[in-house]
Amino acid sequence: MKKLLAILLALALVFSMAACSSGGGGGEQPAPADGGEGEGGETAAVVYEDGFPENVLRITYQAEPESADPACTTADYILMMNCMDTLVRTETNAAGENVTVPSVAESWSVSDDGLTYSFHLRDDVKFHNGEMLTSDDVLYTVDRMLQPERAGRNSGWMDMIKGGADMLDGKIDTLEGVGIIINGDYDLDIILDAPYAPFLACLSTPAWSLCNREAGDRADEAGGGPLTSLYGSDPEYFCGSGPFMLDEWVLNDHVFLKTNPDYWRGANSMEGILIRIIPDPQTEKMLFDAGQLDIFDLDHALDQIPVYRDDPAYANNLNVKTVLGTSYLSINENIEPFNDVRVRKAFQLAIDRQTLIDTQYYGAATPAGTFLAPGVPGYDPDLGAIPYDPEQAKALLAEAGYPDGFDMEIVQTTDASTSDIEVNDAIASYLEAVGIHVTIKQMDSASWYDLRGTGESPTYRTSWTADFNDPDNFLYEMYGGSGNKRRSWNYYNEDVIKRLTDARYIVDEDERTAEYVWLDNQITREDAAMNVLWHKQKIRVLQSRVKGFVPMWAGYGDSGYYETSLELGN
Amino acid sequence: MVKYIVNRILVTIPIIIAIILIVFLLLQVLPGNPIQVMMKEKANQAVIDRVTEQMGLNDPVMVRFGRYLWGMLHGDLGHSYKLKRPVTQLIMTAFPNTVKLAITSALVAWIIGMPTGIISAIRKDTLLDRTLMGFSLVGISLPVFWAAMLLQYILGYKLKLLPISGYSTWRHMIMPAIVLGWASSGSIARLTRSSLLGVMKNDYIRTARAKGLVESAVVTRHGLKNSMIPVVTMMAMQFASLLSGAVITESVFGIGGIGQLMVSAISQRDMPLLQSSVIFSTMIIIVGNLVADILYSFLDPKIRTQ
Repeated sequence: MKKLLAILLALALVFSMAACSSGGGGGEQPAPADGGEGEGGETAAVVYEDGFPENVLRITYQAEPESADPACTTADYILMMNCMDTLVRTETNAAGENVTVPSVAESWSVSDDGLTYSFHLRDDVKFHNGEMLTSDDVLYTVDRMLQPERAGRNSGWMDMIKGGADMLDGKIDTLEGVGIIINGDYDLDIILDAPYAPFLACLSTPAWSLCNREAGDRADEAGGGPLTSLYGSDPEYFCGSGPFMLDEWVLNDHVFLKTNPDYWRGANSMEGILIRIIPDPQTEKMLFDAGQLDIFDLDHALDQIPVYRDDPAYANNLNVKTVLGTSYLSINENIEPFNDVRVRKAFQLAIDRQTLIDTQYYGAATPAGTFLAPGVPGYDPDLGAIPYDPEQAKALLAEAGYPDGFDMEIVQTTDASTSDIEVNDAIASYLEAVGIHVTIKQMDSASWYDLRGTGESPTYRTSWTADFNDPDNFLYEMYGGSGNKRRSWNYYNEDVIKRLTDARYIVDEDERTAEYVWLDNQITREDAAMNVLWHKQKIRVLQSRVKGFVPMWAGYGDSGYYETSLELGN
Repeated sequence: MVKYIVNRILVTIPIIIAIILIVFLLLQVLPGNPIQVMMKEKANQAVIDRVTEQMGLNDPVMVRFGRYLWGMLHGDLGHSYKLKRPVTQLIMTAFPNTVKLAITSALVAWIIGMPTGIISAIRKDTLLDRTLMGFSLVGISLPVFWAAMLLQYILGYKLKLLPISGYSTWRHMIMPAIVLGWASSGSIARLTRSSLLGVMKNDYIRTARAKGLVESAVVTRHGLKNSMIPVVTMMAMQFASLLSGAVITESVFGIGGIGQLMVSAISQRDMPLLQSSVIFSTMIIIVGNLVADILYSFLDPKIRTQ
């Protein structure tokens, strides 16, 4: 009775407060002007609480974007993708293939030995500060990344250029005349240390966003040196050549990108993009439902997928993009009994991928059978998903000498979302059913990265998404180089590891693709070195006014919005 | 009086130095390489090692501590690893938002809390008293995030009276201020009530009544002034803790204050930002306590003459 009274009182208080504050708030100042849209009527125009004009695309970021400087972030690419250009671009064509197309580089050729890449640049690309983009800016972009004093975080995308290692060691100051030869304002050669087949695709990553020398020097000076440069954080010093310009950055509130009227591909029809920093997904949903946001990335709130899918008002506004990547459970072959291939196969067979997808991801994924994702060269659709076969799993375990199963650990970091935790629990119960007893080990992510780096981490679940459209970016990254130990695989098939390295140098495209079909099958199926789970879909809900949105080819959370436009005056 | 204040200020200096040292050392114990944490999956070991070295993170602890102290004496708190900006700039842009939130919610708390407490005390044991105390109890016990979401839903989403998130205008501050203020008003109300009730039992109140003063004058002139000592202390301390950042409220309403800054610094192992914002918050609390002590001495002559 008392409780009931308390609840009633609480509600009364809330509503009485609602009444007071509406009076106070309404009188204090008028709502932000918004083009003087008519009021009333059932489909009243949204009055934007952010105060920006109607013809602005409104999106969110969950935390402050790290930087707009390619030397300063390996995670937040939104600013680079919208404000800068790269030499080439990757696009998904009508057939669903990801192809490399010209961008700032109009044309190119590769020498027979696969070492020299000659580029011819467009002569109409203008930086936001009015300067034309020339070969020297390409040289500058590479030089600044490899400068040791800058601690460039994306140097791994450029250190294969001849002289790159020397530069990182501080032995030389520039790659000019060493790895980069300038043949005039719009022509240059880039020379590699060794042939590297994926190099061209690699040039389309945001890490290769082109910077302006003059602006760069100014930003370094203003920030007190390359390590503390203001290039990526202060709109006054930032300079790109992309379709949008960094206009305003209010920390922990929003970043506003203004449309570049002089963009060489033609100016976008919107006035700009407003990126609001909204850490809380509940708030984000409320803002979207109130029309204050144009795009809601449902990865932030998976449980909302069915809500929007079943709502006739939004069902046609879902944008679904299959991510060019794979979720997996890792396998550490140094931990017994995972040194036995039969145990690894049993581990793969014990999990019902489709049911997990249906229950945990509301169907927004496809079961995986290979590490290479559909769309990556070398992906073999004929292999199909790994079947769910608990009986065979038990048989394999018995054959391997574990008829009663065994104990294993799965690491879960403390920042895991509720959904991640549920998926891990579900996986554990499937494994339990064939006799594999799982202990879920909670770890802080920083400590876990340390542990994994030593090669001793137990199984963990994560996903890999393509940086550039090449199988090397998947398989070599995991097993070919230092990744094999650093990601705690300890995969021992030396023959495969050697072939992974050799495949980087194969120049003939068909031969190379065939090699990766074999490698992927060998690693994920024959050797069962990885427990692949699914290829996820990224689902976004859009407001009806958003037209032409093209998700990033690999399905990242970050996208370029150059193709997007808004339908005004609803 | 002046001597008392000077004394109190001098005492805080060693405390501040100790805090700087403790915070710095504690953060050194945290495992994990911040560069690896920030670069996540997309980085190879060579790059991580290189960047770690180039940013001076391999230097011995004492060297880094010395560098930090030296910078601090020159007003330079270092550079955030993640946001690539001077930490001073980050704190100085976040702090005004926290101040704005603290002032508005403290006002709400005082305006609701004190009258509620006084009325309850005067109308002790009536239905009005119970009802008001019920309200304060709800305020104290209701989780802030829940109250925040409820208000967002009703005032922002349903009635469209106030903006749902952000902090660019004063309209944006109303909901967060109500949420935080309500939560703090409960304790103020209850403390005001009990303290006033205690004071009203004193002999000098009876004397005041006996000499024929009207009840309202008895309460305001004699009762209130003397019952305010613990209340003022609590208000000052509450205000200081509001100033040191309201993590949940800031995150739900998307307010870029000190609380949000600390949360992002912790999850990213952004050491320069983390240690400076933690030290900054502690300093605020210390200063808040100092101010409370000084106010106390104004209200109660016994304290300053001790």
